[in-house]
Amino acid sequence: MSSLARKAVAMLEQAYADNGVESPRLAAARMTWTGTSLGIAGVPLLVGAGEIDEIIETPAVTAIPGTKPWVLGVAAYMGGLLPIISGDVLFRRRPYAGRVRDFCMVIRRPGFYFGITLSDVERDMRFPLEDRDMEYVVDSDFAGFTLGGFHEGKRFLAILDVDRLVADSELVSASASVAVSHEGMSYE
Amino acid sequence: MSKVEVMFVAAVRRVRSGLVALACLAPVSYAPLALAQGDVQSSSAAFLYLLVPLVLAIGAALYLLVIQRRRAGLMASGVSQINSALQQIGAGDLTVRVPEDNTEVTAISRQINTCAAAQLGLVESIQAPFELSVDEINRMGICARGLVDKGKELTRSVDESITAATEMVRASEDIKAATAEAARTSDRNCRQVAQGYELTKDMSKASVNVRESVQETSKSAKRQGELIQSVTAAAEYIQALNTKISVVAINTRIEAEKAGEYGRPFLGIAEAIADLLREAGEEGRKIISEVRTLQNMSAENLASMENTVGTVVTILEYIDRLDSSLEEINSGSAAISSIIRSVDEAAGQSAVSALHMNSSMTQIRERNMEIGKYSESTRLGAGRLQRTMRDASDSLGRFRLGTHRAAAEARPVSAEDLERIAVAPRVYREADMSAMERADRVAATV
Repeated sequence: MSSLARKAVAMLEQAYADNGVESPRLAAARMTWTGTSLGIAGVPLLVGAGEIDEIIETPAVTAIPGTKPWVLGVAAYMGGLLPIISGDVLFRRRPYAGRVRDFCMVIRRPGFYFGITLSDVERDMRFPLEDRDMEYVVDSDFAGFTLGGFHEGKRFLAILDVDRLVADSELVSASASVAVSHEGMSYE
Repeated sequence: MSKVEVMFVAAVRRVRSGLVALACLAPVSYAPLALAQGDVQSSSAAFLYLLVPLVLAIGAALYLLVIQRRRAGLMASGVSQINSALQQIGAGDLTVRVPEDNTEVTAISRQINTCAAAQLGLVESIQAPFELSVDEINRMGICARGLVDKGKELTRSVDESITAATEMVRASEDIKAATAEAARTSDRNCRQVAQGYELTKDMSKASVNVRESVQETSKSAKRQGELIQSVTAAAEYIQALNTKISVVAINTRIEAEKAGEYGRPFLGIAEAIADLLREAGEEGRKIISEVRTLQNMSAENLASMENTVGTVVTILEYIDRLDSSLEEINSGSAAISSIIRSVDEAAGQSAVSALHMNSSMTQIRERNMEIGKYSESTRLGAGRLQRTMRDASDSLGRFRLGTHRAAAEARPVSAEDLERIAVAPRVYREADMSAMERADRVAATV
């Protein structure tokens, strides 16, 4: 009896040895890129975590005379003034008269604190870092402010480099380049 | 010279000789009287009286002898000429003339010449109408032959007309049969048109029901479209809320990151909310997409229903036209039935007329065949008459009437003409030949 039991146990052991599946090995922790998916001027973009101060609904703005066209105005926000920039005009460099942009992202950098309008706000997303595509050709208006991107389905999400945007000479000066004084132009 | 003429000439000679002798003996009868009386002077004188008359008598006798001989010669010559002329006249030469310069036979010659001239005129007077008669008989023969030919052609034409009339009767019967069939077909068409009329009424009612149903469905579809519109608006509102929630989640994550270690639970909450939002966003987009698809489909259905309503209205119009067309067809079928009946009656009358015509043609054919028989008899009679006239012409040709005139005018009818008249110049059918044979027999009776 015992021999039979031992034989059965041996056969069971052999069967497990033959048919057993190896335990999965723990994969090495993958480096992921985390950011927020949004859109500016209809172009889907990614903004890395920590580069956006917050996303707010576009507040009512007060236009500021003598500023460049992409400056929508100044909004009162959380007890202070927040300049609101039109992302459409800033990047496309032409007037925009389309749908009202409901949201804008607040960017805070040393010496910079402004909100830029968004055409779309999606959600936070994670991508494997190794999937980052640095060669993909993005929209020419955004090519100078992006740094690679990720493929998500059929679309390509370019990563907006806020530091490059802030360093752009166009954004440095918000005043109109040619000051036109209307004083004394009256024929009277 | 005939015996009568010879006896006549001898009697004349004897009478003339007696008269001359009596004239010579008259002085001689006076001399014996003088001698008997004895007178010398008277005897000399009487002798003289005897001698002189004797001389005179002798001279007279010689003279008479000479005269007699001369007259006898003239008489013989005249008789010879008369005999020759009579012989030529007996041979048929009426142009011969006896010379009338012979005093002995002058009267006879004149009488003979007169008689020959009279006979010549008589023959000439007979020959001219005879030639006219020959020509007319020739024409009669030609006409009789043409009449026979025409009669046969007329018989053939009548036969063809009879055949045509028979065909006409048969065609009329066919037309009557066809019109009867057409009448039945027209009646069937009328019944079918009536059925079609009822069907169009049913179709009209059904189309009206369909139109009302489609209109109701269209109203429902419009209401459905409005509901879909509101659902779309709600879905878009939910999508906007999702976006706001997404913004809140993003801001929560940002704030949690700003809070550092203390904000880690909020970071988890933000990530959980982000996951939920992703699913909700996907479903929301799917809902919006499907609702928009549904909205498009509803719009298409609505347009289709409107088209259906328009089509039903068009069908109703067509049904009205069909109804009017069926009514026209019905009236047309009735008119056609009337026409068919008229055609049927006309065909019947045509058949009766054709039968009458056939009967008339048969009678005409019989009469024409009888005329043909008579014409054939006329032709045969004309042929026989021509042969008789040819014989008479041959007989007349024996008379010599002139130098060139007799040969030209007394031309007898040639046998070729008779053959041309006697033989029909065509090939006849068996019926015609039998008719001709019967015509011969009838000609014998005629």
